[in-house]
Amino acid sequence: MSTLEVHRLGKRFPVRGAGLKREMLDAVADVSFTLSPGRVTALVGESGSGKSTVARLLARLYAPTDGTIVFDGHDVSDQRRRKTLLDYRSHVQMIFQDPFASLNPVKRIDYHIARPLQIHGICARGAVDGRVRELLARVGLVPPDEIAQKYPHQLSGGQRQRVAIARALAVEPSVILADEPISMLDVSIRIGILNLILQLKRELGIAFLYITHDIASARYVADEVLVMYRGRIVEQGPTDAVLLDPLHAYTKLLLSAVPNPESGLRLEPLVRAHLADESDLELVEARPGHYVRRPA
Amino acid sequence: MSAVATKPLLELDQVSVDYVLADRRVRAVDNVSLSIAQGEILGLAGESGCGKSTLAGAVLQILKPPAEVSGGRILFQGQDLVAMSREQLRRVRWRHVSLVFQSAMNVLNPVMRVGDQFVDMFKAHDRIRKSDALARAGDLLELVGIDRGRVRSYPHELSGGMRQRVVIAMALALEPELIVMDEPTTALDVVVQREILQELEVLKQRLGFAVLFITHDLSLLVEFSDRIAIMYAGEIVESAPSDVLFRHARHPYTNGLMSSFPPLSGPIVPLTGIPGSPPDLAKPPSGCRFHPRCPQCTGIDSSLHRLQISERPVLREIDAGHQVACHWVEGP
Repeated sequence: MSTLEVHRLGKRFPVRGAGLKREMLDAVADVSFTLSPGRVTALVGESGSGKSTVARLLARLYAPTDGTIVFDGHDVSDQRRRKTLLDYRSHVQMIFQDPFASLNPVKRIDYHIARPLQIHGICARGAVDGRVRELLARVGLVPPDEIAQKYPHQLSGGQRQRVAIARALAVEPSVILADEPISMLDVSIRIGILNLILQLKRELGIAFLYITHDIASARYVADEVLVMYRGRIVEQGPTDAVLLDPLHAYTKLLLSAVPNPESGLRLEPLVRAHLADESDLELVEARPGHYVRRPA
Repeated sequence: MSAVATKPLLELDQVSVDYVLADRRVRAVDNVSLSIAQGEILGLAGESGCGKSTLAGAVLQILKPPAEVSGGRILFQGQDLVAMSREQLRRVRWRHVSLVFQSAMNVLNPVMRVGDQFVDMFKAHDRIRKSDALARAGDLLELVGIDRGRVRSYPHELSGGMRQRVVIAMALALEPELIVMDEPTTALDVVVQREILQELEVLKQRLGFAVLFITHDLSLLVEFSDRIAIMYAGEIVESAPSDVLFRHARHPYTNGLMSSFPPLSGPIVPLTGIPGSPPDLAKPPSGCRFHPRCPQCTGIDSSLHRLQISERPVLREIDAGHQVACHWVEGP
């Protein structure tokens, strides 16, 4: 199994203007972390914090403007060749937020899972059907024969997200990037998807990047947490170190926003922490393995 | 006047809603009775497809065929909305009962400035000069924490949270007594959700409206609402004051919903959520509709089990203000 190392990754987008007057926005800057086999790394932050951009950079849907992405010892950040990218994508797969939009409504379920098998030449033509059913069963879609013949609209949101996971698993990836995989699902079925992630990490040793704004679900699945704010990681470390004893004001803000019936039954005032522009601050190791962005 | 004040603001009396298909009727809301007092926040929670949005549609009488209210009364300030003419309804809607949908992005017209959309809305209900309507729109935006200059913005220039605030401001515009909110914060992230809920609570204190708050996220309701009703497969299975429901929920479905949230503190224990999926309302299970997913329905042949699979439990009061529909709670 391979690791995916990200070093000082950055992505700038042009926002308005043209030529010399063009203004650039740092969507992601100075992001470094490692995804290791059999570990779930959670990337948390509010909308617009840049967390989805990180996932798209790692999936090479965007090319980074700064930094390196090293997979299995090779720098893939400036690869442009189709064949190399295809090879990379057979190792690094993505699951999207909206299971209603990520499946083709006019194709049956078996089509979705057979496609990656064919594109990447994973198994012989005669073996495709069997493999599709194996994958469906693996993600808890039973009976697989019945599910394979259905159309996306005949499945619930949770079942559709399982199909998306089976499709990602088809190429036997070492890394799965899951971008808000449960936020569109009913609360009662979210846990099922989280448990599936935990099971896949355990049984197949897959490295997961779990992107979410739901910090409680991050605590449930993740071994390590990265907190992102305005394109930068502001705090990073082992899950309980970061979430039970947060050091950065933004992490505290995120934690206080989670509905928590235990803490009393009335809403408590949410203090919008005065968060400074932290672009020139450094991520420093405040405790062993626990980093926070502060003046160096 | 005092006699009126003690009456509930909104009372649903055995309301049923059917989807009328070519060959059959599918009952999406089955015999639901609920009431909301003036200034009260009633939370209605349940999974997708349990009928909660259909119920919201029934309250505003905006259901379109094939959906129709097939039974019961929906009394608003003592008057039955189901029996009203279109003109009578037009006067009640928005001025007395307004609605906030889940996806604010789809509610606002993308090619009209925000302010003009307020003007349209005011003009539909009042004779008002455009300049006055725009000034009022500015006041309303400020009320929900948006700069009044934003009346000149187009919806795409606002973030999702701001658009949702705009929609809430519109719902407040005519100072209705009741606002129905159908998943108003589901599309937003936690920090924005929190800010909006807190603003709503402050506004409610100030303006005194009541809220029917519909969501699948029970953890939100426990903090935010006064009372909570749990809906499953078209019926109310439990209802109680929030703190009672949080501490002493009795229905196995409610308990399942409660144990679907990973904790933010304490040890992490494996959670199971609720196995299975909600039933197809076209062919609901026999007996208790929750029995195929119920941890208390063990399949061991007993008088309790026979009851669970054959007879529908009735919503009964087990404590003051706490109602449950469950054979297991009642005992065999």
